Amino acid sequence: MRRTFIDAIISEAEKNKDIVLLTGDLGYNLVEKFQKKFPERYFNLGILEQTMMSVASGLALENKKVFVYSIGNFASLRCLEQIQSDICNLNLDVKIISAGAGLEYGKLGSSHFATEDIACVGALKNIEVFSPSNKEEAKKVAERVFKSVTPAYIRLNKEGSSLNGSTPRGTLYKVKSGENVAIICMGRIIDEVIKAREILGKEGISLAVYSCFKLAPCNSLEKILGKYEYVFTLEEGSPVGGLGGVVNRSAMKSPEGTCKVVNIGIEKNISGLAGERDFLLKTHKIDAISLAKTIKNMLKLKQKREKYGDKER
Amino acid sequence: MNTIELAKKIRKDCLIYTNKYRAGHIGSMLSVADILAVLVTRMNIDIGQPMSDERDKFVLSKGHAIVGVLSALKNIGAKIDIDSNYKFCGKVLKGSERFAKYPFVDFYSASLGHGIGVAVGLAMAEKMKNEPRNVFVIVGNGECNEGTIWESMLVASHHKLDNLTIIVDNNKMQAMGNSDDILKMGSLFDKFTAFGGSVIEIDGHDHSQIARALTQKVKGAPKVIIANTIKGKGVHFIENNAYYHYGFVEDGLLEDAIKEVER
Ligand SMILES: Cc1ncc(C[n+]2csc(CCOP(=O)(O)OP(=O)(O)O)c2C)c(N)n1
Ligand SMILES: [Mg+2]
Repeated sequence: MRRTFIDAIISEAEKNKDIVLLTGDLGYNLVEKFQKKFPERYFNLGILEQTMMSVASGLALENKKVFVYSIGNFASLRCLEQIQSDICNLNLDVKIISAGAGLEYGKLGSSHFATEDIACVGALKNIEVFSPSNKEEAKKVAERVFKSVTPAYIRLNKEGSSLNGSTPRGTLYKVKSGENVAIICMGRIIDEVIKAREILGKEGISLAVYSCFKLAPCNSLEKILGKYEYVFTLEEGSPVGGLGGVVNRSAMKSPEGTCKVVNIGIEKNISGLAGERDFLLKTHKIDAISLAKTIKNMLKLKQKREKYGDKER
Repeated sequence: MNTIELAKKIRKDCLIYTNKYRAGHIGSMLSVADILAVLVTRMNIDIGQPMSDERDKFVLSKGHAIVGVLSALKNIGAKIDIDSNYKFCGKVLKGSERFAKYPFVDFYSASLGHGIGVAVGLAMAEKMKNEPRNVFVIVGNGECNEGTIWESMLVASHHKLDNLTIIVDNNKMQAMGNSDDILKMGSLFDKFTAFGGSVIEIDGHDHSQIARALTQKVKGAPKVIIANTIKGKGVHFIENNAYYHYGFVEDGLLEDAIKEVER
């Protein structure tokens, strides 16, 4: 998926001579193709993320369209104030590509857990936050950011989802049908959801699955909130300020106001741990089996409450 | 064990563990092996007393080479399970406990540019004690791109932290290739001097030069040792090869690589 996105930038850069790519000494075996084609528009600035964001700002002030490549926290938290003051406040055409979404680089330990990036960057003004789940979504994101002239943060997994084969319609769309209960998720974590849906299906729970690749309220979200009794949200990161936060706010505003929303994500990452993504998904309870359990228990609890009232909790 | 033998053991361990877990950064580990071999034998620590506070402190700022440190400590008798660095299923450490994750490693970070700052804090705290201990921190040359390194240097020299030794593993490479092609730093000797360090430049693979630099006394300023090294030192196909920043040695080549470092 990462490669798909970089390839898209390369073909766009053929047409748009203002495109510049900056990297913070990252992207080995990925960005070289761009470098070869456009040596005068490629800069490995060094390991200095804060300065890199300020430099991106300067380039954008001179009407360049700037893509900045780094990973997880280094592309976000490390330089958050530079992103805020130098890029977002000035509403500049800087697109930050953040590789290693969520727990993907978890082998390198908690410094590499990118679980609060969306929440933090998403709180800034003027910036669009994207987190595609597969190549098709990544291509849509590329099309959008090529057209837009304002800041964007694009969180990319190395590999895309293997189970979401659908073509996106809009930034929030249905991937699997279901009744009563729906889940909206963001990024490659959708694979766990699709597996959890199978498990739940065997237990008589029919879960609709939606993929969302832009952190923003939209019409389809309102429709979903009006249609289902329960809506779960899931992200490979903190729901505070993330997808969970966005859906909650829409639910509060929803005129029907009957839909119950439950956020699932990584409320607090477990530092001191390190490991493969699959292992970390389990320890943070967002793997397929844990998800199925959480959803089932939550529905049971709600049904019980409805039957007996709050006292019987 | 003499330090030459220790360095061979460190290199061998790094080759084996990165291969076993298909994990990266073998070049960064081999580059710092000689420095580690001499440092752990010179540091004022009682290997049987890992929980004691009465010891020199150690920070690995270029945390991606942590396995080299673990191997060095293990080979001088510390109780360390190197597999645990990769197995990850262990318990979760809290608060001060996290310093006990690896004995004698007070801090390390896989995010670059944090180590000198933390070491400055440790050195300041030591200065407040009756018998201040020394603090050692190893940073990469590429890592010196980060502004935080230089901010930390200003604090270290302003507070005259002569119990702080900063060792720069100057292998002239970083993640994507040669540092001079990415961001020219000019003379690190001059820069660290300008930021108030008492700077010594040595061959980072020459054990007697490393030992001499570590014992040399400085007064009123942090000591900075610019150790000129070769990334991947000891295995000819890893040396100065950018691939092995993120790479490890595959099965077919492992035996030869081990033979080469054991020679
Ligand atoms: C803040 C931050 N930015 C980027 C990285 C990615 N990264 C890991 S190692 C490395 C290169 C480090 O080079 P150097 O400090 O010279 O150490 P060497 O591996 O050469 O010993 C980079 C860019 C990181 N870990 N942390
Ligand atoms: Mg280096």
